Amino acid sequence: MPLMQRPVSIAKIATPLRAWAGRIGFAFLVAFAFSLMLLSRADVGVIDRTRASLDDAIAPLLDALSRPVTTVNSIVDYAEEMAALRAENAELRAENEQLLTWQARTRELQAENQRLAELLNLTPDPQARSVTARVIGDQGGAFARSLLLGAGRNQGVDRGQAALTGDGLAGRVVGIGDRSSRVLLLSDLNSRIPVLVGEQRHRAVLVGNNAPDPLLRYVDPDVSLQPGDFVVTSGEGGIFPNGLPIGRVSALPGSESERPTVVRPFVNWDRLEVLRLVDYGLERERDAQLADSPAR
Amino acid sequence: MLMTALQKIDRWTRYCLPAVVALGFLLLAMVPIRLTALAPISPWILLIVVYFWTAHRPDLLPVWAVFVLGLLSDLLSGGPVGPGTFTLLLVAAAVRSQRRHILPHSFIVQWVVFALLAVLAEALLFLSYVVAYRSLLPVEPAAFQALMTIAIYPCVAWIFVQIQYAFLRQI
Repeated sequence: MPLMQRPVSIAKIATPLRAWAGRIGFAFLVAFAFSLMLLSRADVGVIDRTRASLDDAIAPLLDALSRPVTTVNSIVDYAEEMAALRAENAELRAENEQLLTWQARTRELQAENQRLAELLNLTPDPQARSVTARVIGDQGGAFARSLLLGAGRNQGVDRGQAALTGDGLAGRVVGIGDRSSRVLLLSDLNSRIPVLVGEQRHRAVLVGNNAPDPLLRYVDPDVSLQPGDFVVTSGEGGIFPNGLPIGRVSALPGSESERPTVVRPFVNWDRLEVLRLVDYGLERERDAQLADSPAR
Repeated sequence: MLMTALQKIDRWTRYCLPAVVALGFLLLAMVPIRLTALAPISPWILLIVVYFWTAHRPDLLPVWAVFVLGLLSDLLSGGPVGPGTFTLLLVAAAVRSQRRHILPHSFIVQWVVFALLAVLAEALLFLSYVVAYRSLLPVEPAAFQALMTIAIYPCVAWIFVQIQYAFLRQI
């Protein structure tokens, strides 16, 4: 029938055409994903902004979802604490006595420190401002270590702020939205923090490796580190101030000299529920200095 | 064939269901539970999503939906963007071409096929991250993640089968 002729011929052309379009579309998507992957080392503003708006969009949802989890966690904590109450109490009493002695000693040292600082006309460190934020999301991927916090620009969070727990440094703010922010943990593969190690304050760089315990790199081969040596931020690079506690040296390279030194951080990765984000004003200070300096 | 507006909305909602459920899983995986020690080995649910729906109902999870889901998950991970998307797209293509050979078999065989695929996909994902980071990564988390994903497959697939029976039989 002549009437049927046309649709059939269109279908004959359209079907392979559609298949081709599908194939080209697929190839385009794969190529796009691949180029994003190659670009990921470069700082691409669009990706950061997209991530920030996505984080902002899901923040209220995640905040609501994470609240019952926090409640359950605190109930579990409560039960555990009740069980260990007596033993812990005795332990705390002993610890308290020890701490009181330390407190007296600290007061003496603080007074002495102040006298010496006045003597030297030392400029005081800039006043730190802090924001406390709840952890609302932790991406348990095998390839990155970051947290999503339920506070952002509106709450005074800014890029570069140090994320601390009561125990020590956990990471720093790398992404920022209006009501959410992203913290790169110091165990992340992309984390590099200049540190000082031990009483001799040897310089090194703390490098994350996606495992719970980060590594020390660029240690002077002549210095000898001891297990238990304190690791604190050095303040070089102008991101963190000097002296934030990070952890202790836990394992030292044995016979294999290639093996890097491992640091056991003070923060408990399993109990990151609230983080204190501290703005030491260092970035602004540096920016101001850059702005003041004559044009490059 | 004429459909009322309500019928259209109903049909459309059913079409979106697999992608929406996948999004729900993505968000749930981000809720900070007290098992962060287990976080490095949390399963790669999206791989199950892509395998299951591409094998059973490829019309409900088109390639562009795989792309969008992969991109969202990469962005939410806080790490490099691209490796997950790239790997999932290739997985979707592989499953699409082999689904006729996978579908007639029993659940156990489908699980075994998934296990093989998961090992290959995780290896590809690992390599993609090595390319993205331009540095070698520890292998253990990737290996654990593959094992966890394989282990949790029956549970997630069971949920998907229920969804399919309850909502998607008519379309």
